[in-house]
Amino acid sequence: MTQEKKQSLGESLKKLEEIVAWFESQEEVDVEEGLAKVKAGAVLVKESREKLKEAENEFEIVKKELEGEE
Amino acid sequence: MADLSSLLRMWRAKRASQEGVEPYRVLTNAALDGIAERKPLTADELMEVKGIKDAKCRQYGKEILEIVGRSGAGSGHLSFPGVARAGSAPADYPDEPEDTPKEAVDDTLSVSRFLDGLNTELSGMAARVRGEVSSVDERDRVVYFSIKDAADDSMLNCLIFRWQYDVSGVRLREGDEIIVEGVPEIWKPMGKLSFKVGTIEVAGEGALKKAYDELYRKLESEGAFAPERKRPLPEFPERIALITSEQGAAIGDFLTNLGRLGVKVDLYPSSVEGKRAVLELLRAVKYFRTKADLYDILVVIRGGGSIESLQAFNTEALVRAIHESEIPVIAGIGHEKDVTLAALVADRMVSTPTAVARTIREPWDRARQTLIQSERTIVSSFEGALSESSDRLEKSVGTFLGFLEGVSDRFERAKSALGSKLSMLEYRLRESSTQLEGMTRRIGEGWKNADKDVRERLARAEGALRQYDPNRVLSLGYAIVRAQGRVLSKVSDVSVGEELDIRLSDGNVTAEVKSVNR
Repeated sequence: MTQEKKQSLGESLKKLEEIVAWFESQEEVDVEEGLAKVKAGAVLVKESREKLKEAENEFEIVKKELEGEE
Repeated sequence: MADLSSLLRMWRAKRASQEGVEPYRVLTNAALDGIAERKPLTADELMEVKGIKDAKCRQYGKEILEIVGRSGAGSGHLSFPGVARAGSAPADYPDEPEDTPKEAVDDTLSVSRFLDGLNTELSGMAARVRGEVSSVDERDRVVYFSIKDAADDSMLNCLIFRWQYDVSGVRLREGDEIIVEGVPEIWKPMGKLSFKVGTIEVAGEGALKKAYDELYRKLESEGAFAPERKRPLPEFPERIALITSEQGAAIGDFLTNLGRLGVKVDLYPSSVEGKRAVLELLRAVKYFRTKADLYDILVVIRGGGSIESLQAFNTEALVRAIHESEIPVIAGIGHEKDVTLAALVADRMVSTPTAVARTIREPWDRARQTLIQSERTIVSSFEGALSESSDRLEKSVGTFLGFLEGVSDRFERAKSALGSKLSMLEYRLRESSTQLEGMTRRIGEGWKNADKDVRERLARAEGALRQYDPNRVLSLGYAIVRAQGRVLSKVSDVSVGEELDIRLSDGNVTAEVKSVNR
């Protein structure tokens, strides 16, 4: 599950950057096509922002120093 | 010279104990006093002192001359009341058994006096010592350091004046094996013994460093440090395996600097220094190895320290365990100057726990930045596109507006046309009303014209009405009876003796009521 989330965040950002690159490469942006890209971009931004949202870290001590098995 | 005399006696006592003989066997009191008197600076001068023969001169000459020379510089510096002034003893008893008891008047000393005495004694103990540097503290005027004995960890505190240190050309580094020359001295306020070093020389690599280098070469030849062996760290690690001590600054630095990423950090606590460290660190690495699929990254951190305190991280077993970790490892073990082998075999090595936290956090920060930037670029590019289109649109709109204006003109025209029509209508209405008045008038006139007709019709109606004329009824024999002007229709309307007026068709009759019958 972490893998999934992680990948999709990386992928979302990648797609987003592709859209940006598209806009930057276009001499003359077709409004129809542009609008479609903007819509897709907005979705990606929203998703990514959700994943990058600041949150407390979870901290856990998995093994006590003294309860070693040796 | 009391000072020199007591110095010589202390020297004699020490020498005697070293040789395991009675003090007078070393030199007699008379000889000591003679030396104190004569203050010889050369072997020849010493030979002139009574009781000093060739053999004694060869055996002790150098030491005695040193003591004499030193006391010349530090004269008046020290005296031991209890042992000083023994010189009144008769001079010529070559085999005088021992210092007489009467000399020990009072041998209770103040601390300061005692330490002074010790320092005097120590000042004669110049030495050359070999050891491994275990700590260095460079100050403005003095450099404090300590050296250790590799065999049993015995430690000697040392200090050297800055200028001497600078001249020595040696840079002290922990782990280096060095040879120092100097004199021991007790620093009275602390009662602490320091070795006042005059010269430092490098004695070759320390044992730890040597072991480090050997293991380094071994691992290097195996390709353990090869860049192509390094795995990239996951960009957005969410499950972090952490190995460090629960105590100490490292864990705090790490957690604080990680920021609010919403990730999970699992700590396997382990001491990171001392004899237990290697074992515990190994146990921690192994623990996470069994749960490798649960973690994205393995973090191994501790604060910096001397090569000794970092020893665990240079131990082959641990270095290899980290090297073989399935989870990508990032190490922040100490600072640049003491890079550990464990750090060198990690997939990523940074200097401090803080730097590790920043490394992990950096992609998140960058992603957040990318997000903002992308949003901005997309929006502005699209706005650009839109404004271009809107330029074109504006032209169309212009045309359209032109068209609208045309429409509006026509509308205006229509409106004014309508307006004039309206006023015409109004005029007409007014006119009509005038006409209406005229009409009314004409209708009135019409009536007049119709008058004759009407009269004829009236006449005809009169004729018809006339048939119902009461007079006509009267002529038929009916009469209208009135009493006091009222027409009578019932007998109750009259009373006896009342005068009645009776109208007949051609005239009236007056009568009196005789009786009333019902």
